[in-house]
Amino acid sequence: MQLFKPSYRSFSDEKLMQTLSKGEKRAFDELYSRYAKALKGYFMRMLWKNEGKAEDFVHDLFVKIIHNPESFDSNRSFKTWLYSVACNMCKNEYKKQEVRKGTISGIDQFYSISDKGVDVINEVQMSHFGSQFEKSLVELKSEHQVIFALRHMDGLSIKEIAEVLDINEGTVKSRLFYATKQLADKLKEFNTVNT
Amino acid sequence: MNEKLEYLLKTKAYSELTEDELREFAGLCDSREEYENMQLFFSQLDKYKADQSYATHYMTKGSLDEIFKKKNNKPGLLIKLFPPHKPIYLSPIIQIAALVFMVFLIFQYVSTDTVIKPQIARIEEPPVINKPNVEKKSEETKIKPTAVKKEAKVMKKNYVIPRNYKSQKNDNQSEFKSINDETIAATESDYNSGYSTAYSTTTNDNSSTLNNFFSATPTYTASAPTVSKGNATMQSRMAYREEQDLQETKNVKNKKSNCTVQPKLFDLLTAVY
Repeated sequence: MQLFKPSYRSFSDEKLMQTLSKGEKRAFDELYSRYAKALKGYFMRMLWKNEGKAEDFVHDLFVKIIHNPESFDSNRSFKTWLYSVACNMCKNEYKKQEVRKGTISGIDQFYSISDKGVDVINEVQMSHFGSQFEKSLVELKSEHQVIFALRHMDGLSIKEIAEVLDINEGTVKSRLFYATKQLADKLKEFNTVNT
Repeated sequence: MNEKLEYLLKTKAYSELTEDELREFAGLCDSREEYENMQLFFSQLDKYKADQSYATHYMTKGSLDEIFKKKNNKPGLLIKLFPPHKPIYLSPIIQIAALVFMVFLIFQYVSTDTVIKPQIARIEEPPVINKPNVEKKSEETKIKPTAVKKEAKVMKKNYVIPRNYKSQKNDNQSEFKSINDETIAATESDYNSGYSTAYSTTTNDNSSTLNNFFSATPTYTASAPTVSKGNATMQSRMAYREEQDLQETKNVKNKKSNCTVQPKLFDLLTAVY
């Protein structure tokens, strides 16, 4: 007979998902504490620094985990699966935004105003490395931007990035090389100032 | 750019790199300045990552907790059986009880009408009185095959009145007197010659004497006597029919007066039939 419940901190993500599928609440809490912040940061970067949208996307992603834990293949890495789901959610959002671009509505105007507001704030804080980095990151091609963010912001390995984006590892390496070199060149003057 | 290059950038200075490592950096940073610039970029990036903490709103977690609770918290047995939002006649416990009651009634109805109780098939035994007689006959046939014919003639002899019947009347009376102890055997030659009776003494078996008596007595046999075609003439048949009633009455009288077994036998037969 087990007197004390096990500590889920030592559990792997995959083991936690198996426990979660049995209805264990604490396993869900542990997974949330591990990935909520990282996912919110990912969605923030991918969704034009819109915090409300990023919060909603984090919520929707964990709702999917609650309702369909069986959709996770235990043979795969949970982190890879989670980010691939998040990536697909972002792609769907991009498609929606493409459709909305052709329409004239108050919502589109609201989005455009808010985006402009973000840009203004960024321009004010240009001296800061972070804002300069974010600006430079956005200026990159989307495929380079995604790979660089996944590698250096979310800490995924090259193999995991290849699985998430369903591309070759060599492609990931070359894109990462290109993005790193471009960002380092753009932020060269900023690095020199700091030093 | 692979993980190894990132590791070298974070851990080694340009002067510490070997020729092979420098060759790997070709294209990314060809000079010492570019290499150090890249090192600074990664150190700034690490600081930026540390500052970037996108804490999720507590409402998000609260909403997720409610969704998880709704999905995984199963209601108790009592709530399932007596759901509060349903009327009592729609509650599962009432429906289950009704179903069980219906099944019980159907089972009762079916079991009383169609269920066949197991019965052991058996052949009813013939009346106890006749059985030993048959057995004895079969035993006799085994021992002496010619006795079968003689046995048949015994039956025939009892119903066929010989030509010199009147002279034999007294002999018949004596025959029925001693019927308990003897069986009558008649041969074909005896019958044709006019005097058909021949007496053969059998063993004095108490269990079989009653049956022998029954089979030898024409009065109480169930089936009508038959006369063999080859040996009995038409004259004897007619004579038999005429004298049958007289013989029976006489036999009954004689038996009543002389034989003590006959009333018992009569009572037994009446009880059987």
